[in-house]
This record gives sequence, C-alpha cells and structure tokens, in this order.
Amino acid sequence: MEIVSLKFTILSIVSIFVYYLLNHKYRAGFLAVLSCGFIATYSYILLIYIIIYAIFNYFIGLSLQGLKHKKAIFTFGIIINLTQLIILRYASFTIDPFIALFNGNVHVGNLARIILPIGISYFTLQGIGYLINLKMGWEKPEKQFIPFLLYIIFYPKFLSGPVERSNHFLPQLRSKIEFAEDNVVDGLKIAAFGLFKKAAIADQMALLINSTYSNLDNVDASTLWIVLVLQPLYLYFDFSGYTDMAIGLAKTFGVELLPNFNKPFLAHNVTTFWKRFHISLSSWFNDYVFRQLSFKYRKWGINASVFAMFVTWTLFGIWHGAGWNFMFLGVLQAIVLIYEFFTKAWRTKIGNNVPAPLNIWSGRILTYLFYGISLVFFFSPDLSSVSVFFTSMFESDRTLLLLNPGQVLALVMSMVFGLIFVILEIIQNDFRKTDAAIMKFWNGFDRKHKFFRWIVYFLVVVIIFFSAAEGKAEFVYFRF
Amino acid sequence: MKRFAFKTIIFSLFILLNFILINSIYLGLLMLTDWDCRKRIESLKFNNADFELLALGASTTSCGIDTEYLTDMGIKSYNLALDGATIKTSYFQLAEYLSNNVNRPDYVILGINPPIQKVFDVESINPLVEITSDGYELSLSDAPILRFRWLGYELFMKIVSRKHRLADFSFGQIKYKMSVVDNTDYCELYSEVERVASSHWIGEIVRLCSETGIEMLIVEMPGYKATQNLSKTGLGTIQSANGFQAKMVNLNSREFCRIFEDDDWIVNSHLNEAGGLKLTRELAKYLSK
Repeated sequence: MEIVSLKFTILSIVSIFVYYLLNHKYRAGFLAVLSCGFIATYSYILLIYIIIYAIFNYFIGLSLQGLKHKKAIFTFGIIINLTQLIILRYASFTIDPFIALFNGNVHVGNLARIILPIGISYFTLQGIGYLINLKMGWEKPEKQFIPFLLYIIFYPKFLSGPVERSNHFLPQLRSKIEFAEDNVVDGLKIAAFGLFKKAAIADQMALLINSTYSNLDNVDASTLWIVLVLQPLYLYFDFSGYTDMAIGLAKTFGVELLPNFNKPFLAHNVTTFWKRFHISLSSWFNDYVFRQLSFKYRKWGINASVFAMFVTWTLFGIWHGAGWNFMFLGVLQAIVLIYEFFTKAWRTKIGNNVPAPLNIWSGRILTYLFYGISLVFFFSPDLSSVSVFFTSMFESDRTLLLLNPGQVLALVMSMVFGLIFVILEIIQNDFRKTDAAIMKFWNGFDRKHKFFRWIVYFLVVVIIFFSAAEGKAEFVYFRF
Repeated sequence: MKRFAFKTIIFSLFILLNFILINSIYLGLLMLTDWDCRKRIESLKFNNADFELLALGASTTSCGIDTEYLTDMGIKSYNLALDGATIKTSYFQLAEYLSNNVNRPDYVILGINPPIQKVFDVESINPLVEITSDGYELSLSDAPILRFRWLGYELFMKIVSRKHRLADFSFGQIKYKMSVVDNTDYCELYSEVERVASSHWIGEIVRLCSETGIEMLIVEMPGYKATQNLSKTGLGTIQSANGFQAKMVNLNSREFCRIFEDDDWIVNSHLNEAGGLKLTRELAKYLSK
C-alpha cells in the first residue's frame, strides 16, 4: 500500500478511532492485525516469512532466560539472523559469485524475488538488537508473543525505520495507553508535515536526481553540480518525511518511536553529523558494533577505537546495499571520522582563533559538501557510475537537460519550501529567542491564531495534493 | 474522544470547503486566462461548424499554424492543437469533431515534431480533452489543482512575465509577440519518415481521414537548430502501418528553416506570431499543390 496516498491517510485516521474505542487488552492485537494487513498488501509470502522470523526470535529470546547453553543459543540466534539477511539481501554480491566460481548454476539471490524482503535491513537489526539486549542482561525476554510481533512488524516503522530498540518499544505496550487528544493531534501534525516534506519537497527534487543518475552518460555538467549540492537535501526531506510520518502515526496510537533526525545540516563536523542524521541506525551501530568491538579489543589502546570505527562504518556502508559503492560510502565516512578523531585538539585550537560564526558555518558547509560527495556513492548504481559522475562534472561538451519548464518550476518551489524548513531549523538551533517568539505566535490560543494555524494546515494539505498529483517517487530508504 | 471526533469532522469540513473553493478559483482563472482551456471550451461548442481545414498537433502546431491567415486566404480554418497533446489526443479530437459536426473539413494538417515527440504512440490523452469528453466519469483525482497542475505553470508565468501575457488567441492559434533567440547548434539529424509511417495513432488519423474523404497532410514542424534535419524539404507520400496513404512534408529541414529570422522564435522550437505567419505562407503553397 502506498503511504503517500489518500487511501492510507483515511485508513490511518479511521484506525485511530477504532484503536481507542477498543478495550486496552485488544489494542496491541489490533495494531498487529493492521500491521499484518499492511505487509500483506506488499506480499503474503513476506508476511508469512516475517511471522516465522518473529516466532524464531521470540523463542530464542525465551530460551536465553535459562542459564544452560546461553552462549550457544545466542550465537545460533545471531547466525540465523545474519544468514537470512545475507541470503535475502546480499546473495547476488556474496553467495552467487562464489557458487559461480565452481560453475554452479544456482542463484540464491532468486529467493529474494519470491519473498520480496521489504524492510529486512530494519527488522533484522531489531531482531539482533533484542537478542544482544537479552544476552547483556539489559532487558528481560518478552513473554507475550503479540507485543513482540508488533515490535518487529509495527507498520508505521516497518518499511524504513526508525530502527527501534526492544527495551524502548516493548515497555510502552505493557503500560495502559489512555486516549490523549494532545498526543493524537500532535501525532497527526507531525505526520502531515512529514507528508509535506515527502510530497512537496523530496518528490519534486527526485525528478532531477533520479533522471540524472539514469542519464549519467550524457547529462549536462552544470546539472551534475546542482545534483551534488541538492542531493543531501533531497535525501533528508525524503527520509525525514517518512520518519516524521512514522513517528507521527505511532504517536497517535500512543507509541513513541525513537528520533531519527536532529537538524543534521547544522552539524559542523562529520562526527556530529552522524549523531544527527539517521540517528536510530548510527546509534544502533555505535552501541552494538563499535562499543562491543572497542571493548573486546581494549588492550590495543587507541588502536581498538580506530579498528572498531573502521569496521563499524564499513558495515554501516554495506548495510545500505550489496555493492562496492556502498562499501566505499562506509569507508569514506570511517576515514573522515578517524581523521576528525585524531585532529580534534588541533582543529579546536585553530577554531578558537577564528570568529565563532565563521568557524561554525565553515564547518557546517564543509560537512554538508562532504555528505553531498558521499551521496554520489549512495545514489550511483555502481563504482563505474561514481567515476562517470565525478569526471563528467568537468566536461563541457554535454548538453542533455533533463527537466521541462514545469518541472523546473516545481523544483524551484520545492527548494523554496526546503529553504523555509532549513531556516526554521537554523532559528530553532541558533536563535532561541526568535524561535520562542515564533512558537508563542504559532501556539496562540485566541481565534486569530487558531484561524492562522488552520489556514497553514489547509495550505499544507493543498500543496501536498498539488505536488502528489504530478508524480510520486518511491521513498529512497524503501529499498532497505 | 467525542470532542476530538467533533473537531476532526469540523476540520475535515474546513479542508473540504476550502478545497472546493480553491479548485473553483483555479478553474475560473484557467478558463479566463489559459489559451488551451479557452480553445477547448470554444471547440466543444462547434455544432454545425464548416471549417475547411483543421490543424491538429501539439504546442508547436498551436503556435505555428496561422489559421487566421489561411481563413483570410479563403480556407476557413481552425487550430485545434493543444500544448503537450499526444497523437492519440489529436485522433480523439478529430473523431470528436467529426461526430459533432455534419460538415467535414477538406483538409487536416497534423503537425509533428519528432525530436520533441520522442514517442508518437503515447497512450495518454490530454487531460483537458479527456475529462471534457462525452461519457467521462469525473473523480476526486480530476480536481483542477490535481489534474491541471501544468497549466498552473503557464498561469504563474503569465502573472510574473509580461512577455507571456502578450499573446493573442485567434482561430485556435496562440500568437506570441515575444521572441527568444535560438542559441542551439545543429546536430546531424534526418527526417524520421519510417517512424512516422509506423506510428499506430498517426495511422489511425490517416485511416479516419481516408474513410471520410479528407485530404491529410502531415507536417514535420520547424524547430530550433538543434532539432533541424538534413533531409530534403519536398512533399512526399507515406504509407501508414494500417495500409492507408497520406501526404507528408518536411518543414524542419535546415534548407527550409532559413526563412526564419532570429526573432521568429519563442522558447524551445516554438514559433512566435511572425514566425507562424512565415511558416503558414509557405505551407499554403503545399496545400495548393
């Protein structure tokens, strides 16, 4: 089922009413049924597969409660989780070439075409995270199956996260969720603005970005420069749009999901950027890979951190897909993060001798541009396309312009909307007093303020309709 | 919960009413200002029309064929071409005209521009034609702000640019006064007669004309230098995929396009009023042949 659709919106609103009309005992079950129905709209086989996956992890979790063979059960659980991920997601990159080496004619990658493992990169991390939490004693196994199933399949976050933590998600389902109008209204507002980000900003930018990467051989050089600068914003609005919809929708059901973005383009170095962008994923890798590795090899001293950082970020890159370009994406981040790690004192010293705004803004711009360059690895289908992209940026004999005047206008409008969001984030971050004044005006109680808010909401709805009519692009992170 | 449900209903009504209001205003503005809307409304009123010549095609035809000039020359003409119209749209328009009007035209000109219309057999129909045709069932997705978004671009350009407002609408032709110099370079292109002949929907128009005794002329419309071809200008005959014949003339040859000055163009291969007049004068010679 398409998320950016009237059908999904109406179904979601009706579900909210049904959810709160039901007895508390049946609410988790209702959400599980909704989530199963949602997944079934993509594939029944996927639904069956994911229920089996949840049953497996549920029982592994219960088995970890006993003291006997705890380590063996844990290892078995992790191996199965990783194996199914490798088979369904990375077979064409890892297993099939290996089989072909021995002249085998089996294509394990074909399994993915049958199961259609949408969201596998997300639910696998959640499954592994749950088992690690139990092994480390950070939480107790979930005794009831329905809440655990919901942890894996909860439909607002199923397709593209945030990557939930079991010790954050499950306790919420155990407590009684009362209807709170403010929560529901806030959730709907967050979801509406998420939808706006996706339909009115990201989808309009997608026209240029997608057609550039599918015409890399002859696209005009100036377009490539524009794409390089624009693509971080595109990915941000696409992904944070989805995340806002997920967080907002979950909030209407009284469930708080983990945050995924915190004004990422205001980060003044790559280290802080990754604490603000795709937070749930980067913090997952930080907690379950980096910390575990640096602790395990702590005897190596500082080298343990460097090694852990390198492994973590390489895995982070590979998580995004089966391809050398994704691995390079991760390695590139690792190199810069290690550089920042070793030069922190030196950079701080230089920074102290430069006026603060110049120091901060040069850092922000450099970080943004670095991420723009990194994304060429992300959006390109392979490494040779990455090379074509960078070399073509300096060729003047290319003439293919991709957009018609109407699409250019749509792109300009999306950039204006995007700029409004970015300016609001800057105000929120750097100009607290102005932000407080804006919020005071926005949250005013009298009729004038209320009417103003309703007009803004109406404009948001109209612009969403207006934008969605022209063409929709799939969410970028749906492929994971 | 009840309070929330009540608020939800009120808010939904607020959105719905304003949505209707916005759509009505948008539709009203388009009907008053948009050339294609006006043309469609005007052409739907043709009941006993006695045009001797109809021009069909997309925007290059809409700007380029001076039907007022042809009418003054004694061939009563109307330009039915619409911006972004597919060949299927042109077929649909012709069939609709023939079913609504007893008098058949003597000639039909179908303007095509291969470098722009990369694929002739696109199956979509121009939304203006589609939703105003008989038997079409309207749905929510046909709300003007959803369906006619691209006309919003034209409307926006008319608001911000005086040049875009400076145009006349006469006998279906849009006569732009502004000019944009063609800064493109020549490419090695040839007239794609085979592609035209093999097109399903061009074939259907040829068939319709043959069956109703209408002389049909397919015109490869002139474009910017980058789209002009090295083929000869002359008049020829093509055999369509469904076995019918029609005349075709290549007016997009470099040789022919020398008649145009730098200021005869508007953006992207479209002729302005002066350019359209020059083209139609030449085209009249072919019609007389």
